[in-house]
Amino acid sequence: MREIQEAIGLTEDELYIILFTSLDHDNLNNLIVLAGEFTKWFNLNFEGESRDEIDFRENKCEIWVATGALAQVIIDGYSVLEKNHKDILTKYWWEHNRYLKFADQVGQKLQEQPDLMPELRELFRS
Amino acid sequence: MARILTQQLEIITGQEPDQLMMNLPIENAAFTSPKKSTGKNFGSPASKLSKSTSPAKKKRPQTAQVKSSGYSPSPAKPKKPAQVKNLIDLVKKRDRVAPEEVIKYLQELLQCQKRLADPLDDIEEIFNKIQAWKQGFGNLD
Repeated sequence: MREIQEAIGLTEDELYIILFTSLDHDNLNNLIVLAGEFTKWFNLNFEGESRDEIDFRENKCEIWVATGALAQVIIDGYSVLEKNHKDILTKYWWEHNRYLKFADQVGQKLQEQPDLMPELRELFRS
Repeated sequence: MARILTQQLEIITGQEPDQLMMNLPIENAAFTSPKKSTGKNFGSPASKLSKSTSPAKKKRPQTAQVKSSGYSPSPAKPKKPAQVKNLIDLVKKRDRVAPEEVIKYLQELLQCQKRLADPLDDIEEIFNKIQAWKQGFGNLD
């Protein structure tokens, strides 16, 4: 990657943008880069202002923000652990922590407003 | 040449050449082509030994013969490759990151996010750099 960085003339931050917007969020705890997402940076034709380029840019901006939020979740979860730090690499740990905040908020909301429960059920049935 | 040979024979054996020729067995006197072998061991002592001393071979018990119905025994089952449950299973153990490394990289990401408020301009810059780099190789279409 460093070789490419030098060849293209990318700064450290630009390299971070490429790498961290190509990560698989399902495996963010293992920092796995998706080959397809990574190669998009090099396969797309950026000549002129095409629809593809605009979509790609907006999509990468969203991924960048989301990756930051999820990174914070992992760091917070890690800091709570007193032992077995390797657990953060497991799928179970990541899925639990990833959706914990969302699940807590949903649970709290439904406790406050139980009448929302049938509405939500209907929503899923439809 | 022949004379030299007979002289040498005379010296070695102490017999006259005529006597030497008389002593030779008849079958050695003239060249005969070797007999065709009939066994596997080409007439070696081993072949005689196996015939005389080896115990009589037991006949294999005959298995039931089934009329061919197009069915053949199932081929040997190929070994199942290690099951891939997660994407991480595709990564060699030596290439996997340690928990400390993950945290370190993620902290660097957060620091980078603080530096770059809005990445739109940076992405635009990356586009331009990659485009220029690709054009350096000529027309790749």
